[in-house]
Amino acid sequence: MSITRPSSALEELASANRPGQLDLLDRLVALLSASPAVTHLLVRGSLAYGTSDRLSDVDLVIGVQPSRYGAYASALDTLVRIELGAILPGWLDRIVPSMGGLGSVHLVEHRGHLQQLDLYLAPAARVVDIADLTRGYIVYTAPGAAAEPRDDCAVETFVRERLAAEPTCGEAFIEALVLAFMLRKRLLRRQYMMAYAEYHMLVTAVRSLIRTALQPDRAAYGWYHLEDEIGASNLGRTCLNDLTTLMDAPPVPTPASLTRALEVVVALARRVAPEIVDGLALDLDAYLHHMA
Amino acid sequence: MIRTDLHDTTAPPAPLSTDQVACLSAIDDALLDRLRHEVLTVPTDWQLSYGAYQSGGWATLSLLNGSGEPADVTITDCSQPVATSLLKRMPATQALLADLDLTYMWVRLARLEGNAFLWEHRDYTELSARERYRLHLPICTNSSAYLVTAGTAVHMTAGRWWRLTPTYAHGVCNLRGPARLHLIADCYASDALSRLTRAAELPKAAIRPLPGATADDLARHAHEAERLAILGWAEVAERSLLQLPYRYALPEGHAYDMISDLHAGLGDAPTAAAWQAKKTLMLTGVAA
Repeated sequence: MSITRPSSALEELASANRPGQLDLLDRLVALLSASPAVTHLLVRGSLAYGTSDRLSDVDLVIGVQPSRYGAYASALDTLVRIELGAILPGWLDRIVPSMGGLGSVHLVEHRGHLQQLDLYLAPAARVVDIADLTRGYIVYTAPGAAAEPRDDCAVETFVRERLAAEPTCGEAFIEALVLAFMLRKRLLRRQYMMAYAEYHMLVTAVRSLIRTALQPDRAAYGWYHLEDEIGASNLGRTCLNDLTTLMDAPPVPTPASLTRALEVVVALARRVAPEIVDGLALDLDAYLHHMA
Repeated sequence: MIRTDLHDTTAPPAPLSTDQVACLSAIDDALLDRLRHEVLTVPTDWQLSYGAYQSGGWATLSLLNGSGEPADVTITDCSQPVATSLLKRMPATQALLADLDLTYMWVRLARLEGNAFLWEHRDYTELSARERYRLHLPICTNSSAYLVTAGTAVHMTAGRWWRLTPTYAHGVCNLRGPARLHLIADCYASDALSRLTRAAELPKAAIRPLPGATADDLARHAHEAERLAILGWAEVAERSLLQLPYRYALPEGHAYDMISDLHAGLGDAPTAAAWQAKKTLMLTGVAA
């Protein structure tokens, strides 16, 4: 009779219960480290602290040689879409603290569920500081990573210009969808203060969508004179009614009010930016499948 | 520099006809629910095969074949297939196949995960000249899962039989998931098959002509692929180009030509030649 050693059995059990995020992280590290432009990969957030749960996102900082920063930033979304099957275009993360680079949020189907992937593209020279700041965990360092002389100027300009650009209609719509996904997670975890903050961001993203679609030359004016300028037409008034519906909902959403908010967002987007929604039709079907 | 104007003389795809793919009769909703339950609960140990033809994520199990082994999934001519041990545990599926009374060659279940592709190819090139067709019965599907042939996306709706003539160039994708599950029956021509396929049609709701690609579109995708390759992701660059026939109506084999051009432009003549050989294999079955 063979006897299974307890430690071996426990190892098997631990392996069977390995968080799915680690598989995704394995794939990411193998994929990203294949590029000579990548100097470091740094895990941050709950996976680095050991406090993750099955809803936790994967937070990864990618250190990139400054000379290739622009090319890398331009290729990243295509890379994530093709290799990891992100169901929506990535959203330029405007929540993440500034650490000298650009963040993006991607929703990836993994083991039949949507998994949030937060990537932060940092100039190589910043990674060690970011590791200290975030108490992150460096999981990959390329041989000769620090070889390229520090030249942050071009990267700083690139990052500043990206962050300063007003979101397009498509980007504002994606932002609202990603925030709705994040909100659902907040509600499941009972993180009501974060839910309050993110719901406000969602409403603001919808306002951006309306203004960018209907008044593109004044997209930067935010809430200023919105009623007068957008409400001048039937279409504008209908959109403002939708916006008011979102504003009148509980500031900390309930699951039901979040579902209703998402319906309003999609209907509104179809009204003001039908070509954007048509272009995202298959993506949107997949997203709504997972949000149902 | 990647050249994208090399193949402009290649003819665009001919229009889609019911000879290539056609929608047939529907099965009963209650039966579909029963089949779905079996397909989602019984099969295990899905077999990855035909690796050169796919991105990964396409796996099959046999229901009827020559050996009775579900893991035996490489199809061959087989005039007297037997039920595999898997089919014997799926009574509703077994009854469905028996009722049709077709002259089966091989019957499989196929699972296509999200973000998975069968690249543009032709089937049956390795088999005898005997007349045969492929029937699909979609059991679980989604709007981003479709077949591409003749520059048209065909979403095979669940619960209806579809006939495919896979000797025409075609590819299959499931862009966003969830997993697509089809029953695939390769059948020899017979009276029962003729009866089943008598009312062949192409429902407008199921087909979507893909837009043609402009020179600017192709140049943009070629540039994007080149950037990926230069950053160190040559295989991702290849896959980005292999996915173009799922977005655009392209001349047959054009994606393979673009990959070959990509490598030639990067100074890698052997890899460029290897992709021309792969194109020949995928579209004619002839190994270079």
